[in-house]
Amino acid sequence: MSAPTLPAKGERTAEQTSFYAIFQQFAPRLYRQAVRVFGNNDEASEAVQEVFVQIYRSLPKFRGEAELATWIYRIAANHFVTRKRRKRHDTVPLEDSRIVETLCEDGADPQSELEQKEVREQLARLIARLPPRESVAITLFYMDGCDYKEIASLLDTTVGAVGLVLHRGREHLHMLLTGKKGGDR
Amino acid sequence: MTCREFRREFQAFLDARKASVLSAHCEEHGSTCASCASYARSMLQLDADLAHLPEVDLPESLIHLAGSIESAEAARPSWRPYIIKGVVISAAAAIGLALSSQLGPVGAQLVRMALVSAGFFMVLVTSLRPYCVSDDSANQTTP
Repeated sequence: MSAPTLPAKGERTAEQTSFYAIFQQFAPRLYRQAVRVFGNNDEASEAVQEVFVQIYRSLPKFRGEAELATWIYRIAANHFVTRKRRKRHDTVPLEDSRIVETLCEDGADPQSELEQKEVREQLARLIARLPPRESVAITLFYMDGCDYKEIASLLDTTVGAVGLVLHRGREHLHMLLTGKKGGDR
Repeated sequence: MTCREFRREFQAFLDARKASVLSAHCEEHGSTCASCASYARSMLQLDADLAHLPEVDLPESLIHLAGSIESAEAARPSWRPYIIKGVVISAAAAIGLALSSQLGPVGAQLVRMALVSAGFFMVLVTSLRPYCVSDDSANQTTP
């Protein structure tokens, strides 16, 4: 990755070099995660920019006690959750949302009703409508391949709570897709 | 087994990425409860879809982000010099006040007045300095 606004490689300080290296390594992954969490390219760009400003300011204080990737993902995950919480009043409540009402009637196969690609695009947009921790946990689990323990460490919570958050996240997605709540016996 | 228990176990099964197997109770409930069987099918499909979400295209602007953060942060005013100056002035004032007790009531009053005036003057200069600097630079760039 190169850009005309960046200083030439030989002219960069050690701190700048490490920041650019971190940026090159993590920005695409964090951006993809942000797009899923916020469902909007502009907001994702803003969120990623804010995360990298935090990283830039905290980098001199990073003592290497945690792995660099864990440290960066923790900053990003917490920032995404906080930012999404701040913006939550703008979003539609889950209960009011009925995206594809007839998609999953008993016995019907969702993938035969709509093209698989279309359903997945729809699903990708719906992740942004989940509560903050659920959308971040879902993206960490499915996009970044993090396990319970890693997600718990990134979100400063327990392994048991991660299971519950993922469970609720999938239930909410299912509800958004089908427009109905599951009845318990 | 209740539907709630079935769903909880099924969710744990999904998170284990199929490494585990469903219990016999769960299998049995799934084969007799149409609602839970439908739920399980939907969840399996949802799990597969989530694992294969469409790729996100990276915008061109992202490439320039590192440079803009760097330049914005470099232009950000730092409070550290002001904090250091404040600490030094406070320490000097404290020493002055401690020594003033040796000079009698009139001398102490004079020292206090001098310290207060010096403090006000330093605060005034420190607060106005950024504006003076930006005015100078504005004057230089304006033809």
